[in-house]
Amino acid sequence: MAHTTAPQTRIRTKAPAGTPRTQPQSPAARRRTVTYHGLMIVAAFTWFIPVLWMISMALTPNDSLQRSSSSLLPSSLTLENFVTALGAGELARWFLNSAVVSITTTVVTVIFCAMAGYAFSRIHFPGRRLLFIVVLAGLMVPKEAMFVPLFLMISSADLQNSYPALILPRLAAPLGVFLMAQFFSKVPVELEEAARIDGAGRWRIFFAIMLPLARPAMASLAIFTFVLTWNDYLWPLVASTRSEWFTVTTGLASLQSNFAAATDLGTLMARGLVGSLPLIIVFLLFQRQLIRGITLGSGEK
Amino acid sequence: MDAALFLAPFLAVYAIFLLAPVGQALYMSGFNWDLLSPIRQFVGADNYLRMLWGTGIVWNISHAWLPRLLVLAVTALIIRSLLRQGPSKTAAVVTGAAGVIIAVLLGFHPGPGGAWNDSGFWNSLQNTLVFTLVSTPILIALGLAMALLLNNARRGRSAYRAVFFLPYVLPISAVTLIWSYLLNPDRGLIAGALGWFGVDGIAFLSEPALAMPAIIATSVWWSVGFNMVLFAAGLQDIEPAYYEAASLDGAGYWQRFRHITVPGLSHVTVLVTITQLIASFQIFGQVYIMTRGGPGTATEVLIQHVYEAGFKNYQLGYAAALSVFLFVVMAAVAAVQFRLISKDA
Amino acid sequence: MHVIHQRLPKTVLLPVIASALLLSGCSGGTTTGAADSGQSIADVAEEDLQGTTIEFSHFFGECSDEVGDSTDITAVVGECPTITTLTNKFNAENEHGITVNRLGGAAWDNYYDQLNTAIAGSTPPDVAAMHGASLVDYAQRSLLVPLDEAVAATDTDLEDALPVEQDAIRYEDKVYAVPFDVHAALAHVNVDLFRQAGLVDDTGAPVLPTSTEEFITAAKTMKDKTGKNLIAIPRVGDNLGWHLVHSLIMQQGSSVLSEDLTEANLDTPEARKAVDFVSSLFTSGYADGDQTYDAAGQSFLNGEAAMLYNGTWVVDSYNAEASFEYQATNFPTLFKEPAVWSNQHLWAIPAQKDADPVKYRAALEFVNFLYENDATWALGTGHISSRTSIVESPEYEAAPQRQNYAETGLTNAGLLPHISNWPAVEKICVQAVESIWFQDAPVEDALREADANINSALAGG
Repeated sequence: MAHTTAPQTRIRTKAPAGTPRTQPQSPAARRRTVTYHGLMIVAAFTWFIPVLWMISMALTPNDSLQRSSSSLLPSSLTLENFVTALGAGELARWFLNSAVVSITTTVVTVIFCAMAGYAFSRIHFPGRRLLFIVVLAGLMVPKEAMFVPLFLMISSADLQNSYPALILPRLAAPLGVFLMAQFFSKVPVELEEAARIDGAGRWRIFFAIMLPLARPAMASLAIFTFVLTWNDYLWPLVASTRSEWFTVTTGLASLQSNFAAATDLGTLMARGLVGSLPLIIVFLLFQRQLIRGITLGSGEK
Repeated sequence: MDAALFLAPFLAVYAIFLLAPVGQALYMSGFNWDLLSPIRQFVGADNYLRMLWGTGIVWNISHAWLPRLLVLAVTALIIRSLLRQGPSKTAAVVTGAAGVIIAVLLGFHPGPGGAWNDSGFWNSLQNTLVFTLVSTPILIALGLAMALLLNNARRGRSAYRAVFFLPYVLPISAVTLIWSYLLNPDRGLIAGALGWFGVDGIAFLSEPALAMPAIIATSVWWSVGFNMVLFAAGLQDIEPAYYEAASLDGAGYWQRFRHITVPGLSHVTVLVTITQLIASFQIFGQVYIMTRGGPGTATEVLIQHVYEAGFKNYQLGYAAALSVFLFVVMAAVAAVQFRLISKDA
Repeated sequence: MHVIHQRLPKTVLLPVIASALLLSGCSGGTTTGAADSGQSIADVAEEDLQGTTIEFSHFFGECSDEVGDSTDITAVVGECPTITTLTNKFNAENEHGITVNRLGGAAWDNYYDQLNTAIAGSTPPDVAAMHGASLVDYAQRSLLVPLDEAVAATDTDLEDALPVEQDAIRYEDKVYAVPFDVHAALAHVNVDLFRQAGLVDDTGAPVLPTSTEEFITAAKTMKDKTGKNLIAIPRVGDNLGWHLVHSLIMQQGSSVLSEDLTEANLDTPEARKAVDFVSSLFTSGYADGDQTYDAAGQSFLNGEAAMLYNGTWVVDSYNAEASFEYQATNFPTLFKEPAVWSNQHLWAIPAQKDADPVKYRAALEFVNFLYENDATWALGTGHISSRTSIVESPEYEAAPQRQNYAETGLTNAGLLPHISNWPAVEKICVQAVESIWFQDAPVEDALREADANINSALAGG
C-alpha cells in the first residue's frame, strides 16, 4: 500500500524522562472527562432529536398533531397510532415482503459468496486469477444505474410483482466474494490438509470445517447485506407496481406523497417506526458484526 | 471440477444480473426503444448526441473557467500523489489526459440562440455534482471528527457510537419522513424552534437556494455514521506507542493529529472518499421522496433523470444511454477503488 | 497488480459483449392484440360475467379506512370518498356479479410511472383512470381497448358527453375511454374582501378584472383598501403556476405548440407577455411568490388573499369551510378569448395479453356504472360533470356554486393538445417557468430552451 512511510519517522521520538503523566484521578483530568461527557451527551442528544420527535409524534393523537406538531414532547399520549399502523393499511404485508426479500437475499448471498470465495482462495484451477479479476471488476458497476436493463429483463420474463424480481438482482455481490476469499485465504492450510488425510472430500471440508470457521465473517456479511437489502429503494420501486408487492421502504415512501399524510401524521410516524423496527433491533443486537461488516466491506482490512 | 461447482451459483447470478445488464444497456442505448410498445428502431449514436449535444454549440476558452481550472487543479493534485507513491507513470498519464480532456470539453456550451438538446441532463448532472462535491467533504470531515471524539472516550464509547450510527440503519423512506416534517415551514420542529425567536418558518424544501442544502443535511444525518465507523476502525489501527512517544516528546494535540493521525489514516481516508463519492453520485431516494427534483429543477439528480426518461417519457433507449454515461463516470472513480482493493488481494 | 490492471478492459468487455449479444434477442414483448375485440365484448353473455373479478386503478387516493363498506352516495364529499363509495355501491348492487378490486398504491404524482411499468410488464389493471391529455400516449400504442362497438352493449350514451369530452376520449376517430369529468382552473373569491375594497357592482357582486391593466388596478385597490393580496397562486412545487401562464397564453389565441401540433411554439411574444404578467404580480407584491399548494389554500381560507387560483376540486370543501362569503367563478378572461387550463378524468380499459372479452365486458359494465353515476361524482367533488344532461339538470344547477362556473365547462375549458408526449411537453413548460421564477433565468432564454426541449421530446416519441 501507499503509506509505507511509517508515521513515527516524522516525529522526534526523544522522550524526556520523567514527564509527569496525568493520572486518571487528577482533578484536571476529571474535569476534562466531565466536560467531554457533557459535550458528548449534548451532541448525541441533538443527533437523536429527529428520532425522538418521530417517536413523540407516533405517540400523539392525530388530531392534536393537526393543531401543532412542532414540539418535541407529545401533548397527550396514545397508542392508537400503532394500533392503526399495524391493523389498517398494508404495512403488515410490506413487512412480510421486506422480511422474505431481505432474509432470502442475505442467506443466499452469504452461501454463494462463501462458496465462490472458498473456490477462489483455496482451489487451484486454471484462469483463477483472471476470473477473480473479472468478479472484482463488478465492483465498478453502479447498481443504481443499471435498473433500466434489469427492469427490461424482469418484465420480459413476466416476473414483475414477485419475490424473484425483488431478490434475484441483489444476489450478484462481488464484494461478498472478495470478503470471503480474503477470509479463507487466511485460514491455515494445515487444517484442511489434516481433514483431507482423514479422507474428507472437498464439500465435507467446506461445510464441516471452513464454514464454521468463517462464521464471524459470514455474520458480518449477512448483517451488512440484510441492512442494505431492507433499505433498498430504487429497485423495489421499479420492480413492483402493486402495493401488495411493495417493501417497507417503498411502501412508506408511497404514503408520503399522499395528501392524507397531513391529517394523520401520528399514524404515519408510527408506520415509519414499525417499519424501521427490525433494523433497529438487528442493529442493537448485532452492532459489532454490522460495524465489522462495514469495515471489511470497504476493503479497509 | 470442484471449483466449477463452487463457483457456478455465484457466477451465474453475477453474469446474468450484473454483467449482462451492462451489455444490455450498451445495446439498448443504440435504439429508439419504446417502453410501452415493441418499437425498437436503430438510431446509432443519436441518443448520445441528444444527451451530450445541442444546437448552436460553440467552444471558447473562457466559458466556465472556474470549474475548468478546478478540474485541472484536482488533476494536478492526483498526479502529484500518484507520482509520490512510486512508479505509477501510466496512471499519472491517464489521469492527466482525462483531466485535460474534461477541461477542454467543458468549454463547449450553447452559443447565442443555441440550446442543449436535453438541458435537463446537464441540470441534473450539475445538481448531482454539487451534491457529491459538497456532501462528500462534509461527510468525511464530520465522520472523522466524530471518530476522533469517540476515540477519546474511555467509557460509554459504544453508546455514543450507537447513537451516531443509528440513523444509518433506518430505511431511506423513514429518514425522509422525519426530515420532510422536521423541515416543514408550518409544522416542523425547526419552525417551532425558530418560532421561539419570533422567526417565521422557513420553507427549506420549496426554496430553490435551500432545497439542496436541506437534502445534503438529511443525507449527512443519515449516513455520516458509516464513515465514522470506518475512521474509528482506522484509528484503532494506529499504534498507541506513537502517541505515547509523541506525548513524551511534548507534542501538542494538533501536532499529534497532523503527524500521527493524518498519515496513519491516509489509507482509510482514500477508501472513505471513494466509497462516498460513488454513493453520493447515485443519490436518488432522498431527492425523489422529499422534493421530486423540485422546486423547479433545483434538486433533480441523474438517477431521477434516468428514471423519468424511461418510465415517464417511455424512452428506454435514451434512459439506457444516460445509464451508460453514469456507468462510465462511476467506473472511472471505482477503478481507483478496484486498484486499491485488488492490490490487497 | 499493475499488469492485471492494464489487462482489465479486455477481460471485462468480453463477457459484456457476449451477454449483450445473448440478451438482445430476448427482450421486448409488450401487449398488443385486443384491437378488434369490440364485437366479442358486446357478445359476452350475461351468465359468463357472473363471478368475474376486475382490478381498478386510480389516482384519487386511498381512504378505505374512512369509508369502509359504505354505499351511501347521498352525502359524500371529496374525490377519494366519492369514488370509493361508488365502487362499494357497484360491488354491492351490480346484477352481473362482478367484483371490483382497487389496486392500492399509486398517488397521483407517480400514478403514470406505475401504470407504465405495469403495462411494460404485461400486468395492467382492467380499468385505469386517465387524464384526457395522457390518452393519446396509450391509444396510439394500441394499449387501450377501442370501445366504439362495445359501448352499444352497455347502452353507454356517449352522445351525451360534453363537446370537449367527445374530443378527449377519441384518438384517430376511435373511442378509447369513457369520460368522468372536466376539471379546470377557477377563480375562488372572497366576496367580503372584494366588498371591502369596493370591487363590486350595484348588487354587491364582485367585479373581476377583464384585462391585465384592470387586474393590476384592482390589485392595487385591494392592497390599498384592505392590505391584502388580490390573488394567491400556488407556484412552488405545483403545476398551477404554469397552468395560469398557460391559460393566459391561450387567452391570447396562442398555444404551446404550432397549429399542426408538430413543433414547439412557446418562444412567442404571447408567452413572454403571459409570463411577464404573472411574474409582475409576484414582484409588485400583489401575490405571495413563496406559496405551495397548501400554503396558498390556507392563506385564502385565512382571508389573506381575495382570490385563489385553483381547480374545481376544492369548491365543495371551501364552500363548507370558508368563514367568509365564498364564491367560485370562471377564471377571468384578461385577453381577447375566454380560455382556461383544463383537463379531463377518463376511464380507459387497458389491453390485456389474454384479451379476455369477459373481463373487458366486466370492466366496461363498471365504467358504464361510473358514467351513469356521473352526477354523484360532480356533486361530490366540484368537478364539472362530463355529461350535458347533468350539467343542465336542475339538481346540478341548484348545487352550490355550480351555476357560477358552468361556462367554464361548456365553453372556456378547451382541449389540451391531443398528442402523444403531452405530459413530457407540459413538464418542460413547468420547468421553464420555474427556472424563470426560482433560478432567475431570463425569460427569453428559458422559453427558447423550452422550445428546443419540447421539439426534442416531440421527436423522441
